[in-house]
Amino acid sequence: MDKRPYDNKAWLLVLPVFLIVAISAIIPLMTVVNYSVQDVLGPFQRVFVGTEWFEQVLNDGRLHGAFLRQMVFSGCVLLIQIPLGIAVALTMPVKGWQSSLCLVLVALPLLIPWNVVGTIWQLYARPDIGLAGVAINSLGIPYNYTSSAFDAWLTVLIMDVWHWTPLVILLCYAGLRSIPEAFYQAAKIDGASAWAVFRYIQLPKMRRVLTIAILLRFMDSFMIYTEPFVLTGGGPGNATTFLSQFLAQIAVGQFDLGPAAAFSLIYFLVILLLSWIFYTYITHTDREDAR
Amino acid sequence: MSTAKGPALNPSTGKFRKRHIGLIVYFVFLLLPIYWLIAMSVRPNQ
Repeated sequence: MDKRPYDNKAWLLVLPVFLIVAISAIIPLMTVVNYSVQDVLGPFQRVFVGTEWFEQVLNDGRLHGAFLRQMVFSGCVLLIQIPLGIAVALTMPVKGWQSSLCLVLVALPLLIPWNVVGTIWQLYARPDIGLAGVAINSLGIPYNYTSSAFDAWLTVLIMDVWHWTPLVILLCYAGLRSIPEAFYQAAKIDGASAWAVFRYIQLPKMRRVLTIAILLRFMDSFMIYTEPFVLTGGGPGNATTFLSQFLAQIAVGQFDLGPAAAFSLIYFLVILLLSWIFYTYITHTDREDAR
Repeated sequence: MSTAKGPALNPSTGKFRKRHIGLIVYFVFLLLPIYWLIAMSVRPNQ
């Protein structure tokens, strides 16, 4: 039996953290829960409506459209950014000033505020004065992100790839740098090909950082708001209206607090659930491989 | 010290390989919007 002295006063040291978490997270969350089951008619006039707002939101066709767009967008983001991040990290120099220069250049988009990223791409992709827009049109490919839904969607996707692939690159690069030299020497003795080195040494060693990269990119892309808002404002039509923008339209545009609160909770739970599924799947395969 | 043949983090620097072309293309994609915006912002009105 453990006979070490136990001092309950130690809980006092944790109390400030509990208070900060309660004020910054739990109280706002409970306020949203409160709004999601009430119809707020005035400052002191509220009616309990049960699950009415949840039913209304879940049967909203606009939400279904936004959810589908969001899923496709997040899927494309992962499909492009993860392989591209790995490929660039593999190609980057490992020693000398070239390595430092590459790291600084790669990190540049991460240092730019999100609304500035939207502004850069709004100008850069403009079909009349933007370098990319004019270049694409001069190749004979009709491109206009302000009028074509596909072009707008593609521009948002490329902008996200531009902005966030550096994060994946930096994570993969850190993972690659942590591989001991002995692994490469053993592979050389065995006469392993470049592909075998990648498949059996580098990729398994990068698995943990890739897990973090996939989770971060999925959650971030699922909550994307600022960049498409600045670039397209959700248009043309609803082509680039993702879930967070749809939420902002309900909460701030229409000021429907009840449905917005219900939607916030559903949104939160969906992200939590999908992230948990991703994490469980990846850590499960990790354990299977370790056996 | 050289590593196994072909691993990406091969520190055999100095040699220009095919894969570096990909890296250069990526950096062009990365830096062109920033360069273009800066160039446009310092250009005087005509």
